[in-house]
Amino acid sequence: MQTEQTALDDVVQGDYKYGFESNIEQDVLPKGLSEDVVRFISAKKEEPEWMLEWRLKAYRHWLTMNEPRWPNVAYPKIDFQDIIYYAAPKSMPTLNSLDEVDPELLATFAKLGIPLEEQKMLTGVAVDAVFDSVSVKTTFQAALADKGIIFCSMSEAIREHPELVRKYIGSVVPPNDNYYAALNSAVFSDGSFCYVPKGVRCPMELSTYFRINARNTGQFERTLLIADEGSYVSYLEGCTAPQRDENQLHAAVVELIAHERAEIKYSTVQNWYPGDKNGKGGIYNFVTKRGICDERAKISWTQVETGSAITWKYPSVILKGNNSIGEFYSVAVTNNMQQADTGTKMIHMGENTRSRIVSKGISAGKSQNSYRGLVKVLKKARNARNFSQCDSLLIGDRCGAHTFPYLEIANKDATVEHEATTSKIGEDIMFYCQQRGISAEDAVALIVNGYCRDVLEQLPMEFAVEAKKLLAISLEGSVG
Amino acid sequence: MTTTPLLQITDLHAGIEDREILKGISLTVNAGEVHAIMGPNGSGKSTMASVLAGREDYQVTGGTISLNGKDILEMSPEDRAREGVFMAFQYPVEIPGVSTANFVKTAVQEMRKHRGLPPLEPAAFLALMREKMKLVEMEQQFLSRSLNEGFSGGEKKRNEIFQMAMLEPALAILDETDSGLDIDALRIVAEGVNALRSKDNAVVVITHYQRLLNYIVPDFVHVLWNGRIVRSGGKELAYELEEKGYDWIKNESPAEV
Amino acid sequence: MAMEHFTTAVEGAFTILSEHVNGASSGALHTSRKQALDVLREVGVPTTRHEEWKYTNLAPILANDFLPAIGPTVPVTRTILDGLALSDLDAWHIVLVNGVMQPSLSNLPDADPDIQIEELSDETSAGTIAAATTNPFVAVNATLMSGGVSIRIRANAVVDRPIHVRSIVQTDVGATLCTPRIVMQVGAHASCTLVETHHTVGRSKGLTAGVTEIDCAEGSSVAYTKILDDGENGHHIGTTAVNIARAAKATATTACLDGTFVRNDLVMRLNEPTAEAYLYGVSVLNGSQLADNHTVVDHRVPHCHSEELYKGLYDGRSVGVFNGKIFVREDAQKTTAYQSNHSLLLSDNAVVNAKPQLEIWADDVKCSHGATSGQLDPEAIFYLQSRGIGKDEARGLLTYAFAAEVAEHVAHDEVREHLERRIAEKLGARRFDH
Repeated sequence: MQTEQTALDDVVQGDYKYGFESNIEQDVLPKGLSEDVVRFISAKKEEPEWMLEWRLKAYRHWLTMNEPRWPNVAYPKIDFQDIIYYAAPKSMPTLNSLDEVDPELLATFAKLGIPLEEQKMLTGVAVDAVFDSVSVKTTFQAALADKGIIFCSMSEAIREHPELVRKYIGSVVPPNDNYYAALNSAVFSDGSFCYVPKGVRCPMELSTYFRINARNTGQFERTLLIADEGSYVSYLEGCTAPQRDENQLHAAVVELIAHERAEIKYSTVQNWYPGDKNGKGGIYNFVTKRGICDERAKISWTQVETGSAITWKYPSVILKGNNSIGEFYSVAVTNNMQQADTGTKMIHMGENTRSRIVSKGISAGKSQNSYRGLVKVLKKARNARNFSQCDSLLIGDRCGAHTFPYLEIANKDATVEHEATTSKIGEDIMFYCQQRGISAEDAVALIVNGYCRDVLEQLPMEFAVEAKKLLAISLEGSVG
Repeated sequence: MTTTPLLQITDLHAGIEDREILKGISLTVNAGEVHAIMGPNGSGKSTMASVLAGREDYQVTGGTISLNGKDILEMSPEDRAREGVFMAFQYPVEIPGVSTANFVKTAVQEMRKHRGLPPLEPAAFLALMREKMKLVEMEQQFLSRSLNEGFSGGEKKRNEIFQMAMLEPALAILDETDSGLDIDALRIVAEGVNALRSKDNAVVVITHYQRLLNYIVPDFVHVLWNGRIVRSGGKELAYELEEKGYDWIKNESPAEV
Repeated sequence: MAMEHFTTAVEGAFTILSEHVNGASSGALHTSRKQALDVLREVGVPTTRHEEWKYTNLAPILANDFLPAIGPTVPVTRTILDGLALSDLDAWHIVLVNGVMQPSLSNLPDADPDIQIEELSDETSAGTIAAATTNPFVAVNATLMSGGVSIRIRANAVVDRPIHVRSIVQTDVGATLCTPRIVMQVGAHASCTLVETHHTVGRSKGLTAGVTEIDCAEGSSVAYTKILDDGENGHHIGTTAVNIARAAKATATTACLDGTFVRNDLVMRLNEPTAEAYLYGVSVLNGSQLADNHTVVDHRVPHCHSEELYKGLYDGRSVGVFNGKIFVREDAQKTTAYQSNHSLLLSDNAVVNAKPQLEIWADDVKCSHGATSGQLDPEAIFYLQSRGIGKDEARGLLTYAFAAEVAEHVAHDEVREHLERRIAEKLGARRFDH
């Protein structure tokens, strides 16, 4: 009879079967980074002079900075001159039908419940007229424009709405904020821009549209999202579908601005290629995400992180306005040789500000999973409240779970509570499930989904369903 | 006419970490029967339940167990469950974040898959759950609560019987299901079990005390002592035990060789 | 500047010390001094860029230009001794002056087979439990340690009378650094109580860079209490390292009650299965005091247990720092480790920085930590009021109770009562201030 441990091992040691590569013919700049490269990118995008100057300033600052070494992750030194900083996609490879696509990938799509037409989009199969991206885009944009919502690519925004971009870009994550933010500011390829006017409630989750739109944004993605007074927007980033990329380094920047009484809900599912069992290949995902809240505003980050060889990411909220609210809900799964150092920062500046952190780390294989979070209550932040719950689940005895919370409190009326626990999936629970006819593999998936429920509940419905399936697939194939 | 017994245990030896606990158990359970296994603490009752269900901490060192003529010793716990072995746990576990409904659904669909049946549609499944919950007087709110989390002792045991009702096992093993139950809960649990009895299934009740047997009346009573069945009889044996206590058995049984 | 100056001063003192070791320059003690100096030169004095010193800036402290002293600079009188805290404790008192043991001022057991107390020498091992490898102040201590004390408790001995080490730094000649070293070896199945206090005597500022090493052999039980209650001139940067063997139990209580600047590093290593570690700490600060407690609980083997509770009450402009690390190494299955850290800020200008930290490489463990910063429970205040206790009185009682919860874990009655009294006194002083 198979012991529980070997059953877990089998499950844990499953390969990532779902990566794929697309061979996009590209308009490619030679490797290396210099002022000329920055100028080239800016010119290629027909950017105004101020944008170029902004990029150059960031580049010059970047030259003076050092790569951060404090995260609890290890990787060989990155040669920044060995990276291609501009590669414009010319066209997608055209397959005639889904029959030509890797059947395993299709199986994954099916498990995730991704609609057929969308599968075609993702795999580069020519799409029929009904699901033509242009038409979809048009439909969405009509609905959004009706409400005065601007939603477009960053490049387009720089051209069409320079006053908004100029006002807000770098206002939350300044170009000199950190090493990767500086790099991104200098060479960002594209990304998304969204502006929701005063009092407008965005009528749809910016998801399906985004998924289509998000293709080809490159490795240095930049997102800027502004919710004006009293508005609401729910934004979904990423994709449960597995993603592979030739570019090993990804350094994105996301800036959120929630004006008075506005609310932004930002959800991410990250499933980049994690590398093979021995840690070869895989994406380095070094992301700076930060939002700022004016009075009574609310920013809520939800993330499900299952991919990447290395994840380095701390979606943060600056609670500047009185009575503002910040939330962070996170599930981070690591397996094999993956390393994740992720968490959040909640900076309480205003009075009566509130924040809530729920982090669920799941480590399997030989992976290392770290939670790193800062709760900072400034002197003026009377009655600030924070509650943090950071749980770690270990699957197998060769992985690591680390918790590094920083609590910096300079106000006596503040209430800050942090709790952390570490546990494993108990043998008694496994046996109970098996006694009910549920296989070890399914039992682990079931238990882990339950363990993450508080976070998954925060995702918009359609995304939550996919994320649950993604976890189950990760568990079946990669986690246990 | 000879029929294959539902459960056939022959000279079963089993233990944990080199310590032999079951020292040659033989037992035949036919469909339609209720058997009670009684014995003092440490006699091996719970070990027997665990070994039947396939708990991996225990090593079987000799003997056979067959279900409907099929050897189940080499089967994983989930395969035994799918073949129809159900164990009502003495200490049901709590699974945070997994609702009772979701858990039961997962189990039921697995069983159906094994039996070659299509998955139940959500509406049919919900209707089935509602029907079976009535059996153990469980309120519907339990369905959306995390499995056993925050349940009282009685609620947990009722949940076990509810799951038994949903899974329709051939062989139900009730491991000290009466422990920690007040008389009302005991009655509810027992009535639930009785309602599920049929000519096609069998129940093995493992208990220290006779009181549960007032409600689930056994056809046979076996007394386990020191890893062996030292006495078998009808339901009157349970009364005799209740009256005379286990010392009676201990004194009559030969010392370990 | 101040940082380099400090290192230079330590180097200078080392040179003088080297000239006085006579034939012992190749002995174990002096060899380890030389190695420690190399470490200090390499790691240097940390700045706040160093993760371990993120919240504690040494620059203003070291700007005092402390000069190292080894041994008394002026005679210590009985009157001075009797004026120090816990002088009336019924204990074996060991007095160290500027790091050097003074038998004439001490109250040592006379030919007691259970306890052996002597000056550290080449023959008594030092530095095996607190090795000068990365911590710069352990290196400072190891570079200059001379005349420290070795305490050995015989196997199976039950020593009821506490052993009280009083380390005095004399500062009449100017700002002075002293480097006391305490090495305690507790034999198998023995039990004892060690109390460590620090005192600055003189007009100028004193800095103590102390190191205490405790080895708990199999089945032993050690209760260790360190009290920092040293007045305005007192500055302390100390390390206590404890090795705990099979079935042994070590309890460390650290109280920061007075003193301008305190940094404690407490390391508890659970080296063999079924070892147990208990760590308690309380800080009651006001004015511009700073107390920084760093703890490490290192679960290296399976089946060990640790519990940690640190509490802080911060008034005035005081700063509290807590960093508690729990390591559960790869093979340390079945570990149970619990940590909690609670703070109350009592004024608008006080600050607390907490960094509880779990690092776990084994899966079958039960570990948790909790950290809070908040206020007294209004419900509790109301409850007391409803029983006729005035609001201020209620607050006072609850504040005291908050801190005293830590003192409760000190087993020795007299020591515990002393701590409770000092906590009450310090909080009482606050009540009159406001």
